[in-house]
Amino acid sequence: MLGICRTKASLTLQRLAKLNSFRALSSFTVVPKFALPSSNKHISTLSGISQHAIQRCSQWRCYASASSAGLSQDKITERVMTVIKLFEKISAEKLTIESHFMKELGLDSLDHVELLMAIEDEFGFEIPDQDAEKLNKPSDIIKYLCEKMEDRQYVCM
Amino acid sequence: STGGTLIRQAVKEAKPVFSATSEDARRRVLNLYRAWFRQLPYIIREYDVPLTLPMCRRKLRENFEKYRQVNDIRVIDLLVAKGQMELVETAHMWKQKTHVMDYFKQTVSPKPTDFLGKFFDGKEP
Repeated sequence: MLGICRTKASLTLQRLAKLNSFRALSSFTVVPKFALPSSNKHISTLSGISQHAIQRCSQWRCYASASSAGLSQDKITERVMTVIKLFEKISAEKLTIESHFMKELGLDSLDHVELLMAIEDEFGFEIPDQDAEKLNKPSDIIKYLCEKMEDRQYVCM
Repeated sequence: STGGTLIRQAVKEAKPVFSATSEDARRRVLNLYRAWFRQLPYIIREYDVPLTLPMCRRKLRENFEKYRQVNDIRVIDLLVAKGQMELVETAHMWKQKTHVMDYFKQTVSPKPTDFLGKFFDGKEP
């Protein structure tokens, strides 16, 4: 299992944890309390899929308090840029905060979806479709995340 | 005549299957992709297939790219419905390992063209 990991950043620990055990352990994710039951809404909105698959990936544990868990603008920027850099289809040279995913970095819509899923996994909450369509640059994503982090209440399990 | 024009107008519009607009259909497709993408690690785990996650993701992308050129909303809806049915069957473990491996083609080595190749293959000249 370890052979398939990308050994680049601490994010891999989080992803490895998801693949190796069915309980995802992460010290930096922050879970909005009303999102927990529907953390796999993406599956269940289409139809009611196996409950065991849903329960497997919905255990988040947070050891940090909200203030130190990386919620300032700088930390959010850093985390977002790390996630984007880890994405293989983007070349790190062309990547800036203002680079457009589709036009400048050459991603298509499915790549965009994968990228947003990586960000959802990192920050621990779901981004709805109508918002996801508008997030075309890293700066848009950072702005959106800052707004969402301020709005939500946080629960550490 | 008015009867003829009414019939012509009725024939032009087709009743939608699920989505009314192409935006709607696009969202369905992307959500299906998301659902499959998230299910992949569990498929590998549960069916114990000799596959890696990158292989599965490439195969998923390939299957979606196959229908990239389709523009008819009703056809898109039906394809999404079929994809959703496949996802339900795979996630509930109603399929077996062989059904999952069916998505991947058997490796076929190219037929030999030179004499020695054919000889080793067992073919008489």
